[in-house]
Amino acid sequence: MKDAGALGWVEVGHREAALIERCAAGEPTACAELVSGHERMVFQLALHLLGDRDEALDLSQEVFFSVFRTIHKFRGQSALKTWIYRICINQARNRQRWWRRRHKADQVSLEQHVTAHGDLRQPGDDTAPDRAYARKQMAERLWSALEHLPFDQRTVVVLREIDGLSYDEIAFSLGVAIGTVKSRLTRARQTLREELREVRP
Amino acid sequence: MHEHSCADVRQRLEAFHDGELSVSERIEIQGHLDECVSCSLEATELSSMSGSLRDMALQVSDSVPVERLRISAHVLERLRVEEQFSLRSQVVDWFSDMHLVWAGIGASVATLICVVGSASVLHAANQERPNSMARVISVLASPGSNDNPMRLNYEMNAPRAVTDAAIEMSEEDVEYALSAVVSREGRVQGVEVINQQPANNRYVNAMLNEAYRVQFAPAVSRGDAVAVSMVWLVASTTVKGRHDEDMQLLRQALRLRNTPAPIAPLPIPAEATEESKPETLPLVKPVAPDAASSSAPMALAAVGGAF
Repeated sequence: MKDAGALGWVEVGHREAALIERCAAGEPTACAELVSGHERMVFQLALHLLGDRDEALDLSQEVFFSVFRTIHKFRGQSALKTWIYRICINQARNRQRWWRRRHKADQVSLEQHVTAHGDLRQPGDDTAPDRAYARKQMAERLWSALEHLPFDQRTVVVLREIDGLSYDEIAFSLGVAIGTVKSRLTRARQTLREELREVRP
Repeated sequence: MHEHSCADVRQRLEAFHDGELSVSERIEIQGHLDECVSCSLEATELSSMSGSLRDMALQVSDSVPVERLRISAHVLERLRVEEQFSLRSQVVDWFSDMHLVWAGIGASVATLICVVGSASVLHAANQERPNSMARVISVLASPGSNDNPMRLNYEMNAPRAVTDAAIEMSEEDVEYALSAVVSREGRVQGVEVINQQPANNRYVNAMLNEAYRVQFAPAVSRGDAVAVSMVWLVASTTVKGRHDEDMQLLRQALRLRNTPAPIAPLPIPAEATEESKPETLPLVKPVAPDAASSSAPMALAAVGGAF
């Protein structure tokens, strides 16, 4: 097993280290800088993991509170980004359990979400209408399948495919071994691929 | 025939796709994919899946403009409020206005002084003065206590000396009366010589010292130990004479010693109505008669008197 946690301050740039120190000292401008630098990343991850805008917004705020409460413990064992990912995933996992128990029936599907917000772009540069439609159908099916994956598998897919994290970073964010990351990713892709094959003409 | 088997390549295809392989491995796999159609399809499937997911993610994210959510503002506002209401900052706030601190310290000191003052007043009030009316009443209300000794009467068991007193008698004749209280604890208190003769100070003092040392069994009235007033009459007489003529007198004296009877009328106070005769051991140690001087100390029983 490769140790994902042993990186050290070298990983964290000098600028980032200075920012962290200022945040730990409770400097408001530093806190603002940290939040504005990571809010998009955190919110999007929360949105992809939870699938609900308000939940994601709430979770994002909680993640930053948690970051500021524990930032004095941060010793550069990873990049700040990965560390925030880790906090975000832990909180999302807790919320996910609670959410599943309480509001499973009320969860908004992607179709409803898109209908409500109506802001979907046509993906790709494919101009042929039928192919574009088929591709859109496929993408939506895939997304729906992703939402129905178990939380741990979904998290691995989101971190790898959407956020583009390496296996090392995913392993640290989830607090698991790299082998676990690989096997979860393989299982999740297998499930998604089966979904795609059903759609494909 | 491919250089690598398809199974081997497919096993590493995900890692290849995710960019987790070394450069040489990537070159190998890429070479295989260029030649093998089925593996190439597999790789394309992975890529298209990634592309679709990224597109969808982008659409979903873009449907919610993050900047308008004002996460940063909310977080900072809440941090500021938490800081404001945290205990530490509250304490700091208290001390930022020293007027309140001085007022608080002053109030605390004033309260402390009041408490100490009232406690000392209460303490002083609780101490009873010996000549106060309350003290007199409480003493009178408890007959038989050490402060209010009882009169010895026939219903009581009179105090008895538990330890012996040994007093060397002087050769001079001495007669005197002692008044004292035998306390509940069996100790002699407040011994007074009633009719002291000035010449016998030394002897009387020795007697008094001895009296304080003697342990008594206290008087018992209805099962309870009580303090009683006592009067002892002490007489020491030396009889000198010739051997043959004075033998009779000596015998008489010795006989008298063994008889616990009063030899003199008691100096009874006017209010005394009854008297008892507590049996006490003689306070005098007999001395053997000397052939030459043939002096014989007369031992006389101490007589207890009640008054």
